[in-house]
Amino acid sequence: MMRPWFLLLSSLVFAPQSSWAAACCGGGFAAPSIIAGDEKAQLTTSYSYTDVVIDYVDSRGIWRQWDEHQKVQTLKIEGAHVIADRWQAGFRLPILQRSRINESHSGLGDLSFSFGYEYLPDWSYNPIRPKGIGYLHLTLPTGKSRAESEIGGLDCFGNGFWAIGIGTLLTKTLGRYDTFGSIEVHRSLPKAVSTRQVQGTLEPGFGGQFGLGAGYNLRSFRIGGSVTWIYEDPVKIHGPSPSNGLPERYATAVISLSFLASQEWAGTLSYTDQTVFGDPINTSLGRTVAFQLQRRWNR
Amino acid sequence: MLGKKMFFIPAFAALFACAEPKYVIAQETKRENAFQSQKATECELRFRNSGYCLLWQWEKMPTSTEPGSLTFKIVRANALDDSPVPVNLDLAPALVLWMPSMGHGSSPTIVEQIDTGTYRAKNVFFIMPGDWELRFQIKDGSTIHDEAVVSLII
Repeated sequence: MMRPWFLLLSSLVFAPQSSWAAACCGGGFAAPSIIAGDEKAQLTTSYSYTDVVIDYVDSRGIWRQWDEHQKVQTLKIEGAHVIADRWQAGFRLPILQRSRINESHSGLGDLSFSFGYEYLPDWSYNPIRPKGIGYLHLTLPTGKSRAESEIGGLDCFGNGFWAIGIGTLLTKTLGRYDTFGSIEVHRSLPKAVSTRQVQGTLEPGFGGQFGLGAGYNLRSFRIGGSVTWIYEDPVKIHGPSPSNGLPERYATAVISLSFLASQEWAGTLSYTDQTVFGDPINTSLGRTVAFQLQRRWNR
Repeated sequence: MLGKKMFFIPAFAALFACAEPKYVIAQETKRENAFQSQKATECELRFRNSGYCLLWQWEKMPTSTEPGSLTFKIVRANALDDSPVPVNLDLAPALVLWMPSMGHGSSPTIVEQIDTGTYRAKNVFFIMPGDWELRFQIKDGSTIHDEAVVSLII
């Protein structure tokens, strides 16, 4: 019989990271859908509400704030399934609504697929060695990019570029405590655009994230926290009005409370704040409340 | 042992250092009497290809909730005394609002001609504070023939 807190860790470590993305105007790179535990499959649906509290942080780190802020609501479905003994595949489908004053737009975000391999299995329950899953992450530009928006980003719901990433997730349970670490590097690909505001080629670059988290488990509950640092290269514009862009950097802090209703069902309530850690530049910062419901199927 | 501590303690502190907000109050970038220039040769802002001079001023400053408007003139230097002469363009000028650091624009503006070489841009609205560019463009469809760019902080 698997311990309940291990079950909570196994599938909820990535749960709060749904809020990796920059608060404003699309952007950011989606977290992959990964089974971190011993399940055969999992299906997760989540709803989040973000208030963009800092409209803009410039390249000198100066924070600017207006009275009216953008609000973002996100409904997301994600799933993952074991496809061979140590291999798994997952998908992620977000739908977003962005609002500011009386204007509101909604649409599909970036659809993404992930393929994972458990390169450090936890068969022997070694007291020190963590469990390690490496993954490949493919993002489809089903959401509009910032530069393509003709209304200042209210109608862009993703990164908007084809992108491929590689990363790893390390987890370890020590008694009632659990920890995890994750690191990812991704590369977004150029695309041609022609709108009333910009013509030419958008050239994004590399990006990456590094996350650390921990949790404490008590009966069917887990309280956890994590911090993820995110960096994105500038998006250069080649065309009649060229622009070199500027790099974006911010950190996302999360606290979460999870409840394991049964071996199959779990729920998580989380609070995300991008104003607490890091040295943000060229970004907007938001605070998010999210609820997530997860169904899993054991092997 | 001490060496390890001297590395890990500062590294941990740097990693988990709290964000340090440095707030600024948005400053109004008022610009008045831009049309009172006596000589077009002393022009501060020129179109990149034609060298025409661009003079502009706020008519109504935009706010965080309300769009504003501005007027602008495209002039050349008179051959006799360098006084500004309005240019009658064959192509319609456009105004694009662009935020270079974030890589996005804002709501589309509406440009109407008031007189020869004199225009009004309405619906000038910045979706967020920060560094913006006013890109005055002379366009034929989506082809940009000429451009003058003004940088401002909103």
